[in-house]
Amino acid sequence: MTATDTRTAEPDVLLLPENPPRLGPISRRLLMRPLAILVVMQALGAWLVFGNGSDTSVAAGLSLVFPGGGLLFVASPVLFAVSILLMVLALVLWWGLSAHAAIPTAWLVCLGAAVALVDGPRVWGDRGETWGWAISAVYALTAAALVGVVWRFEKRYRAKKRRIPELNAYLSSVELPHREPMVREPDQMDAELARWCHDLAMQPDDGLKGLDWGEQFHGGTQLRYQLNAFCWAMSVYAVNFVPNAPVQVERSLARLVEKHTDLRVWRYWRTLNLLGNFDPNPDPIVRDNIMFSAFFGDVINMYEAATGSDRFDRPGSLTFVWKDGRTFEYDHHSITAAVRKNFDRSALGFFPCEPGWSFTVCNIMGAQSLLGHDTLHGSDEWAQVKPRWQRTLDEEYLTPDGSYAHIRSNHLGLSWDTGEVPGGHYFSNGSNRFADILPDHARRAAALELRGALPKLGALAGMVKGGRLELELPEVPERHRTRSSALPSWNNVIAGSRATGHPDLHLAALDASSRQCATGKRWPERPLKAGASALAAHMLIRWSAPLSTATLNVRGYRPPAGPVLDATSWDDVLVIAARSADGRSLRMTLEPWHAPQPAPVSFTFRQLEPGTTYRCSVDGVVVGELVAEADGRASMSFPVTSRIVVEVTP
Amino acid sequence: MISLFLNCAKVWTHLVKWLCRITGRPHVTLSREPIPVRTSAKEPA
Repeated sequence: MTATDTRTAEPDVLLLPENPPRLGPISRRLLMRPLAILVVMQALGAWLVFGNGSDTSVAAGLSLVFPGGGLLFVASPVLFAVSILLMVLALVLWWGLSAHAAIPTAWLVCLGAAVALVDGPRVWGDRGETWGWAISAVYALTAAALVGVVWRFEKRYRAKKRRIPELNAYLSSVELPHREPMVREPDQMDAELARWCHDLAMQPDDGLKGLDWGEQFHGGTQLRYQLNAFCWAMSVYAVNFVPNAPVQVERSLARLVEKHTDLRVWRYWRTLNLLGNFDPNPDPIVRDNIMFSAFFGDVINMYEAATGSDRFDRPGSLTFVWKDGRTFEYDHHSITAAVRKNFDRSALGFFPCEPGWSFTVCNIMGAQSLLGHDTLHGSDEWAQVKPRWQRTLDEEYLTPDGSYAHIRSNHLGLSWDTGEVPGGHYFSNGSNRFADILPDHARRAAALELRGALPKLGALAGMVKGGRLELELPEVPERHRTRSSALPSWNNVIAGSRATGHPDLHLAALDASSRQCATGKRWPERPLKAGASALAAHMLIRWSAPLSTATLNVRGYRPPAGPVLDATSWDDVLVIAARSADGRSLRMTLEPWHAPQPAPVSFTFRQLEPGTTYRCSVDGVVVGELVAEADGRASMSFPVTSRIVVEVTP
Repeated sequence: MISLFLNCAKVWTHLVKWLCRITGRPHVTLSREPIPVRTSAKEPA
């Protein structure tokens, strides 16, 4: 078999620190900034409230103490409620659009409104009326808010810390399930999904039909992540299913990679850069934006590791053209260099997605992008960055129970549960879940993730009868909440069964998911009832055996052994599988792409043993013999009117 | 770490849906038109 055996010896699982601090040293230092601002505002507010005594001064002071506090003092409870809503909106915009000025602006607007209304009319009461009790109320609210925040943080920290002995006992004794490398024959759904990917890729250059189109910031409709995921899926498909016929899949993958340079995919960055960095430069690679640069770097790593092509190593091979004609020319090396530079200049050690916000998942992708480049090109970017990167992960983002905070402000050291991931924490994330960049961390994360899942998946495995799982899973809303699908739940079962070493459940879940979710439709509609992100995740999970993206990132490119299909009518015939199990013969699954091909189609092979006679059979029936030329090449023709299995054996 | 809880992601999604409703734009579609760009400054006109 061309793909390599991925089995490795399992060392001990990393334990959790027994006495973790509440915050890492850098986060603690950063947190001094908002605390200092808060202290100054409280002091100034107190001076205005108690030191002067005029209504205007009290209204301004209370507005500093608590957002909109002065509006309560000037007897405007409705406006006070509006000010709270305004602050919530400002907080969401701060997170969502890096609008760092949103909260100060909203706070000042509320202050200005309170001062302006001191002598103004009232809805309830006389003109210029003030509520003296509001002073106590505002201070009580402020105290409650501060105590609430500290109490909530402390409660969570202590609860997690209490669990450390129990978790370490579990980690000391846990035996991670052994996963046998699985080589699977493609089924009809694999063929439909591969066809869909090729159709997506081969549409006109400016075509991006078939993705979920919506806003590009946070809503689950970002084109960049959808394209990333389809590229990853096609990369593992290339290496696991068609390693001995790389031409067609390389062509499609390259087109999908190039679609990342479509302005509709990266235009969002200028808005974020302007709002968050006050920088009008639309260049999507040079500064921050790790959610684009690192993900894209990782996509190119996967493309190169799967196909061996150096197409995107050439200078300017990936050129981004802005609306006004400005061009930003990049390639695999310069994208990697930009990621490295951003890591180097970040005080926190992780660098931002949206300006000012560093997400763990994106920085894992950043690490992967450096490692993959090192693997493919012999550089040492990851080795250089790794010590500091790991320190940031372990000291700044790790929480006592082994999970990592999803998000942190580079400017203020703040984190909170933004609702993007359950609880605002996870044990691992990214397409490779630490498996390539920090294998010890990956094992610990896997052990913690599987802790609750093992019994559930064991029970599900018991439901498999005769290779079939008679089960339908409930439909759940997808991230953008305009569509519900059972596929995300199936994805969890399929990935979980693989992670927990239940190959029978894995195969049965693939079959059951197809039975429940198949639509019978083709591109631009989807063969499975799901959003584009869930569909891409499904393909990635489905095709990640025996080699996963993590293995590929460490292994790099390996040329296929055995005969290789080198030329055919690539626009008419789809290669669903092409593998050599013994390094001498070739087994292919072919389908007509757009229409049956009743006339004989020519197939040219390379890497044959010169002078050797090969027997070619279609669906078990010998259709002819071919003799390899001195250059190891030979051709054969036969029609492709439906799905066929072709074997070329010496 | 300050642990507040505001489901920003949910608020954001509702905000976007609301904006799409009032602007008459579809929230999610299968495709949109390409954005016209001027010829690259490095290419001859």
